[in-house]
Amino acid sequence: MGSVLGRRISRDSTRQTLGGAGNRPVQLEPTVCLDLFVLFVDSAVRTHPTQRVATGGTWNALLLLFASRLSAGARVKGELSLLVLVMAATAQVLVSSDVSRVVVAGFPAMVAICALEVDRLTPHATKAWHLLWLSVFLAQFPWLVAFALPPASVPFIGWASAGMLPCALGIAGLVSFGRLNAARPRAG
Amino acid sequence: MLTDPLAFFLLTLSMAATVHRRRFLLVATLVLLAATRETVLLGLIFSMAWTLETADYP
Repeated sequence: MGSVLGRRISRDSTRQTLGGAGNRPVQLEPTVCLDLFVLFVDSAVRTHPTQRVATGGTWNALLLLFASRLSAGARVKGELSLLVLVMAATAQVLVSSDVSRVVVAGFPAMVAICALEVDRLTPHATKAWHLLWLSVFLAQFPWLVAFALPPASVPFIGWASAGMLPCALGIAGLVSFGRLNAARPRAG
Repeated sequence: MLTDPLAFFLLTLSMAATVHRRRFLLVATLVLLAATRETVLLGLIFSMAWTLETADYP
């Protein structure tokens, strides 16, 4: 589709100029709008389906805490607003071709949800609380290095990003199983 | 180059203004946030969701 579009644009480039040499007036053919739409659909289709589920590559280790928070069922006042913001940011992958960059706009809300989950897991600022935050920072650190350096510098980062979603689903399953097991009345 | 850090900063500031009921700061932040295009919608969505959830109008 892109090659067909490319040929059409190059063939008609003399008529569809956007203010080229000689300051000629802009003359847009009606098909140009259609071509731009086709170009948008083409870029959206070419994006890999796994990139459409962009949370694994965007939130990285925070996705594990997020899944745990959702599965635990604990809510505080105003937390639903944070979830709505994360959902709104994530919903942009339905229409955008640059998936990770637009999703990460919900980072402040994601960090707030993860902070609530850390406080739920360790209610007091004890040694475990500091160790949990330190482990979250260390788990995020490879992605910081990967985005700061050329992509080949951290070769395993793609696999790690792809593995975050299954890990998050596993944690959600375990937490949900624990909740159900705790709520079940014990015999005897 | 500074679009994303500016969006993070302003979005966080708009969230804080919503939570702490600073209405003028919220409006000013959202106006500035409009410079980062679609991120202003996220700030608005959070403000509306927070207001609806907590019934705490700024």
